[in-house]
Amino acid sequence: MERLNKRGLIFTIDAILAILATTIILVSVYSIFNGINSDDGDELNEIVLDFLTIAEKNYYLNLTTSGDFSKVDEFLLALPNQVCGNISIYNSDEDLIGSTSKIGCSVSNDEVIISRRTFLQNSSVYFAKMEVSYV
Amino acid sequence: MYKKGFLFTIISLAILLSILVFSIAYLDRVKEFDKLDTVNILRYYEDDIVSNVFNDLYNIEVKDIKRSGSVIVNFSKFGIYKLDKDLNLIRNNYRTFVGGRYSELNNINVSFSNFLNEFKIKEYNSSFIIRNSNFTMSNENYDFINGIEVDIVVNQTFEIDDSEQPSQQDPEDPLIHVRVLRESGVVIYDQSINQGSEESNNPFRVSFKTEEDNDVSEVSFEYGILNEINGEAFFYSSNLEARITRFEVNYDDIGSKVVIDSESLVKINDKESKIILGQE
Repeated sequence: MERLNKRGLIFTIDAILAILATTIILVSVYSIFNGINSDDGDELNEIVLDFLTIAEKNYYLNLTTSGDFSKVDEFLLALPNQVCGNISIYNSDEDLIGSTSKIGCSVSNDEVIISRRTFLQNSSVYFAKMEVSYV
Repeated sequence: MYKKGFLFTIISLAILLSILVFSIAYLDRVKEFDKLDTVNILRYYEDDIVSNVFNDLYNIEVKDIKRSGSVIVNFSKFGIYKLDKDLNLIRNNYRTFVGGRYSELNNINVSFSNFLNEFKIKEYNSSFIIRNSNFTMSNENYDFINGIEVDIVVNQTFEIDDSEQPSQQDPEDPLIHVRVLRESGVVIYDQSINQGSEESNNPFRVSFKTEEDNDVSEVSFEYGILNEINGEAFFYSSNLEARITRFEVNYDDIGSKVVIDSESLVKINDKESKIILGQE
């Protein structure tokens, strides 16, 4: 009887230790994965940076200073279907020169990614501000 | 029975520890990607501010650098020259905006050092200073220069009043080829003459008739001894707008890599970048 009690005690301690070890490891794994911020904004960020870089290097942004947004509009339409975007052009005093949006959708207020790019036109400094979000 | 239990415990622990190790490794990987994102953003700002800045500010763009027997450094744009253009003002406006409001908006810190309208073709030690209506090219190693070709487009529509044809010199001397064109593309002056680097040579010069007799409207390019310095080149435009649409320097091949360097530095946060116009 006494031997059975001992075995029961060992079994109980063993079970408690096993549950404890399992719990510690599972909680650690959960907290690790919970701490990783799976940011959907990364993709939008890449889109906005690529867009502004290409628009500047192809001189589409320079055209906007004289009111010609046709190339930028065409380029906005090439954004992925699930992405909306708009571009505003400012001079160095931050006066708005003009703006345009992708036709058929508007940038949502929930998660908007904003980036800027400078350019020079006729020796004057301008910058483009682009906002993008998912539909 | 005990052995089975022991084995079961070991296997369970091994599986659980594997999951833990995998999770930690995954976390490290994600952190590395986060760091890469930060680097990418800084590279974006670097590209925005540094790349092409000489083209934007001074209309100077390197077309290519060719090496075949000799080394040819070819600019497809080499500035727009007119008196009412203030290059210092343009450069300072850009520096003030980028270092000020642009930095604030993007939450970065940008500073410029040695940011001037000058650059050098290394290792030939050809130094250029670009000004509003003229530029100077100084050549410490002028012996390496085989020739210079310049195409100048002028906005002047008046007839040519006078033009200077420098005299032919030793065929061993650098061959200087200067063309002056109208905006329409019509060539109105085309001279190709050998000129000694250690000689005081006549300039390649075209003057235009103007409405006022006292006005001088002309473009000029000269090479040789200038201000008692050997191997200097000097271009100026007077009372007209001149665009240099081709500037080509032919050097001996000395085997070293060609870098066209402004020696200006742009610091974005803690990262320093050189403003390089072009390199092989």
